[in-house]
Amino acid sequence: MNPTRAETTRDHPAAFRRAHARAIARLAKRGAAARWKLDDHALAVAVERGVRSAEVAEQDVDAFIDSLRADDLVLAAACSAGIGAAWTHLIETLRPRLYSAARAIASDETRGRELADSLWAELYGLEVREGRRRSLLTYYHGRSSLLTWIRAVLAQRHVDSLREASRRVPLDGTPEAAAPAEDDPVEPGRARYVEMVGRALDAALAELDPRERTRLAYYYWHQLSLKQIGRLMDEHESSVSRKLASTRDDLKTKVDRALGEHLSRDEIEMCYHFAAGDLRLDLARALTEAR
Amino acid sequence: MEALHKDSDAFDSILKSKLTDTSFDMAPDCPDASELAAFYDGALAPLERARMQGHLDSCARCQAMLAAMARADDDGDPELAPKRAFEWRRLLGFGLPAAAVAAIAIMVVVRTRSISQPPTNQLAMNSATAEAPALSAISAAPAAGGAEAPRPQGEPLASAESAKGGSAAFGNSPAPPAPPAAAPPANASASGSSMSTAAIGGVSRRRELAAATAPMAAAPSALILAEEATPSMQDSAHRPPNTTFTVESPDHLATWVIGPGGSIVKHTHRGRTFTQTSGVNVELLAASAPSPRTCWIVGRKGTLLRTRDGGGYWENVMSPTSEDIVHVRAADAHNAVIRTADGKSYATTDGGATWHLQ
Repeated sequence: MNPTRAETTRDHPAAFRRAHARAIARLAKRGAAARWKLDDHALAVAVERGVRSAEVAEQDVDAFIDSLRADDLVLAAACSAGIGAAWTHLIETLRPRLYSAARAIASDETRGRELADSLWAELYGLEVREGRRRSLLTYYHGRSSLLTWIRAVLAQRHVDSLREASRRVPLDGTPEAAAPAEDDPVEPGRARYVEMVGRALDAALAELDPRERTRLAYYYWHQLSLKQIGRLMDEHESSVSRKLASTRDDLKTKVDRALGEHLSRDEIEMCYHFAAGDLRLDLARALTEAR
Repeated sequence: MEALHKDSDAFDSILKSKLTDTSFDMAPDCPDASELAAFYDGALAPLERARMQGHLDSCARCQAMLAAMARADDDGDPELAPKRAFEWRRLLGFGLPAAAVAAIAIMVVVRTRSISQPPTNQLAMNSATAEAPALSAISAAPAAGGAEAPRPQGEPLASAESAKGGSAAFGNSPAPPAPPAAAPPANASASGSSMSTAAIGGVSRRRELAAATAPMAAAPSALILAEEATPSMQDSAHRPPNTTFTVESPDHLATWVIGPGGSIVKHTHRGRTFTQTSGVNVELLAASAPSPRTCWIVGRKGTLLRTRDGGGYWENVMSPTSEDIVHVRAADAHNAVIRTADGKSYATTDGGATWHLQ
């Protein structure tokens, strides 16, 4: 990507350490590396990995190093280097938080514990290479807090496990969605009404700006608070509220209009009533299968 | 108007089901955990951040991961949330005026309650404070407002939006309504206090609390909750055996519901619920929660438990007695006083390593 990349110090560890020795020394001081008796070389290796991962331009490397979370990066590097005191500190300060985060992410005590146990083992390092454990902490580069990074890894594991589960196809190979919709003998027309609402809403959603759709997904699917959505989307919560309300009203108007071309007002209300019940069942089934 | 509301609720349910993408479709070039974390902490450069926002708009997987991180960040524990500069700006720009309004509202509520408190409302057999009626109203709340579902995490859209009329439906949560909790015969006079407390936003949490409490014990929980006048300290002296009781941290961020046989359920102020493992199956008799992370529970046969991580792990603390411990009062994870059924009091200042008979 960068034509001068081969010439940068990133590809020459010794040159990298020499060129950025002062910034690394500042980082070591800020992160109290002496507390863990972490040598400069181990810290330089951790920094170098982060610089390479973020593809920082050569002239920005020192500023990048100065922006790193020194205490967390030093702690992670010390743990990766197998320094016992650092591990003790990590266990005391971060382990309870890791378990708490896992429970919150999984929304289930047992699943959360499994998730946390598995990650904790990897942080310690299950894989042994050349007689040394390889800790997952080597992938932490200090751009965020260590706790946020741990939450990100937990979230990744959790979402990927749900994703994996949702891809499983029944052994008989006949997905339930393929089954033709049957009409309700008690409420004739129900299936047709539900289908009409679904089609109209799909069309309205397809016209949305991707950002509006993301905002809706955070609110309706992930059920985040306005404040949380605002933080993820760089918006004030009052803006989130206003925009959500506006998008939702627009969608409703479009769906009403589409249905109104074929149905009376009473029939439209019946459509919503049926669709709310049926789609909720679909959702519950989908979520159950995803687990 | 009523028809419009019903219609809107149904539409929100439909929207929720349509937007739920359990396939977690992902876009190419998903960022790694390190980048996601940097994005979450606001550590990416503006250009990188804009690029990440663009990716998020097309990647259900990354959206789900960030949402999970946000949920973990808001787990009711202020210590877990990273401190950020922009929150200070918010505090100065919006938070201070809001805090001032809230403080005035609380003063008005407290004053109103102290004036309107009927003397017959003292259900508690021991010395109930003004908090008791509000707590007894927990059980009554679901019956009164069962149609309104609390937003599981976070809040409904701003009330200002609801006031605009056209967006009124947005105030309701898109989540399906919570199952109504069994409503024990709470005293009717509590309703006035319940409304006062609702003004400061406590009803949703109480509903969930009552919903969780109901299955744990068929005991007259209204009486028990009313008895729990002191939020962070519970005493078993006036409670029937094997009944459920609660303890709340002083800042109301965490509530533990302690049931028969050592069962513990924790609720956070965000409405999240966790079933926890106490590791014992004896009857637990009293509890004290000096903070959302620290809670002490005592019980039969000298049982003494403590958590320092919000209930993730309940440790058995060395007990100075094998008698039933009926009362505990803790200042933090290190300092606590307990009282046994035969009236002896012990104190520790080192987290239970040593106890002194008082």
